[in-house]
Amino acid sequence: MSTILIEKIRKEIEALEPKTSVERVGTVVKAGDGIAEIEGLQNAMMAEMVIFEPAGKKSLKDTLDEEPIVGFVLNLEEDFVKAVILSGAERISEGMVVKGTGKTLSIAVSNGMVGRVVNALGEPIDGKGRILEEGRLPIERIAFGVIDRAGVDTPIHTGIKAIDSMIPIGRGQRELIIGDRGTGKTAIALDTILNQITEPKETRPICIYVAIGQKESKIARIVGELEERGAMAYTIVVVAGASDAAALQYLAPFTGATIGEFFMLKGKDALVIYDDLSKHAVAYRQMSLLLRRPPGREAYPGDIFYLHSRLLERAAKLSEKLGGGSLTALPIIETQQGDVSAYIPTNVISITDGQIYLDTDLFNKGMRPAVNVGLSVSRVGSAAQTKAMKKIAGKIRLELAQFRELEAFMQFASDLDKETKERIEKGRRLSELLKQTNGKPLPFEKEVIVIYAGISGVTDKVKVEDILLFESKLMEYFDHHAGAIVDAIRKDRAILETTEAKLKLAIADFVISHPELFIVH
Amino acid sequence: MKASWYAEALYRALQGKETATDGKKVFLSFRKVVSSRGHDRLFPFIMRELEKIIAREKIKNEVTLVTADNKSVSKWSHAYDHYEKEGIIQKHMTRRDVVDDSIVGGFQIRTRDTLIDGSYKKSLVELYRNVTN
Repeated sequence: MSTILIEKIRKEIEALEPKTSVERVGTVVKAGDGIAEIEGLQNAMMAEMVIFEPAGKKSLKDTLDEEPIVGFVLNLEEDFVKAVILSGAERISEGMVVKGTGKTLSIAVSNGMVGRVVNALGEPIDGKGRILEEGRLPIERIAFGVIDRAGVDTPIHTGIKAIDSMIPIGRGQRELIIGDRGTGKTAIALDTILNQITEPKETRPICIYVAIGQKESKIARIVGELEERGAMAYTIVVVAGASDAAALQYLAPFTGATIGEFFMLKGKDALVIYDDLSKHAVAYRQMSLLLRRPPGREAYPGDIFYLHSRLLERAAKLSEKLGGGSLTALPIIETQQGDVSAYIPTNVISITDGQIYLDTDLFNKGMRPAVNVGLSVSRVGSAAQTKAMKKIAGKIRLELAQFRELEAFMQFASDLDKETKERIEKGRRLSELLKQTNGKPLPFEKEVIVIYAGISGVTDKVKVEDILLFESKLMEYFDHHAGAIVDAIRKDRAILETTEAKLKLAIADFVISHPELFIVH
Repeated sequence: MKASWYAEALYRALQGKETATDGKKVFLSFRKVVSSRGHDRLFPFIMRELEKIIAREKIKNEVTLVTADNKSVSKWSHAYDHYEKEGIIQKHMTRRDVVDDSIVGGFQIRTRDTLIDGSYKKSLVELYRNVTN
């Protein structure tokens, strides 16, 4: 034992003077399914943290060895208080003494959380040791008001061409990712995190991935991938897995929001992904039913809308006066057989500032990411789009909208006039150009170049099945022969006249140097 | 209707009935009401709930003074008197003395919803947490 520690203990013992404290207590009268009914505990507050003390005689050693059992108050009734047990529910017994702490549930926050995997209470679970605490923030807080906020004006690039060009997301926005199981919702969220590595360090957002009710194996795979790709350097993973108590699954997104707010209040940008809120709603329904709150539609409690709105409302872009930080939220919702009109999907759609709808049919047709551009929308993101992206986005949106209208006539191709045929062919190539391999996000300047090439008509002479090859060759060409143009777009965030002229020349040069790609007449 | 509600009603009705005859009268009319509602089968449960309520109410009026050994009871009685004077312990409460060596030393005064903890065990646990955290 180090001398410093011995000295510390000696001082503490010398100063030891038994102090008397008066505490509010209650007694457990019933317990089960992670809920404890407590008698006494006068003046308990909503969401107050309570500590369960063992009943009967317990030696000093046993008291020190055992982890304290923590819960929080969720129901205040006439004679009883009902509390949700957060850990060690199996150790709860009738007659246990419950102490009120007088504090609402809060978590320790610090910069040291970056790169770590924590549980729903913000405690590390990755075996990398303790996280030094810089302060504590309440898990529940009222979102910033209108005066404290600024307009969304900076984009957060996902690295996915279809999203960044047509459904742009701004820092401080709430954009829902919705779709059936296995359509690539988590993949989009992960690509967004991975793509932030291309951002300069000073503007790179801190990413928080909140896994709610996910399989532990899936979470391990995600953490592994983030670590392998170097994304854990700016990411925090909050885990409330499928085997965790419903109470922890209920708390996890609020913990994620609290961690995000900690960075936002420091003037930084943060991105929080809630994967997924459908499971969060299910966990809350379970808790509410066990707390005997009246069930409503689909047995969800009456305040399920408020639960999600108060969570998502915490996403914000703060005014300069408050440091100008931001918290962007990407909630995920899993639909059943494409039904977006179910209770939870409609709730979250109406709360968020737009949605990215992933279509099973598109996914099965091989369109990856399976973004249904017609049903997806971003309500505030276009204001945050870079000039470069804005310049090309309008054209691609129009071309694809026309293509979608004409798509139904594709089977009668022989009876169509030349102009319609050309539109359909161009649309097919543009759709193909928007395909992207999972886990390979593109930096925004490269997205701009690819889409620019597509709308300028260069791809018209490329076979549809060769489009992805065309894209990779084009990127290779720009990396080796036209790096200055890529740098200029990245720096200016716009396609200036001089850059556009150089871009056109470079594309023409690429066409000449790769004749094998352009064989359609 | 839940048995606990009937038990609560019976308990309240029995309050203040000093003599056995008064109590019997209340009980008979209670039985009539329950039978007229067709809830006769609830009687065993009502009685069980009534027992629980009586036990609960008894605890409400009881204060426990916990000390580490028999010798300390008189030593810490002044603490009890002090908190009674302060109004933290109500005057009409019944005091019960309990010896619990696990508190190491000092005292604890427990009421239904207050714990006055002056035990050495608490101080030692706090010391341990301060040193290890």
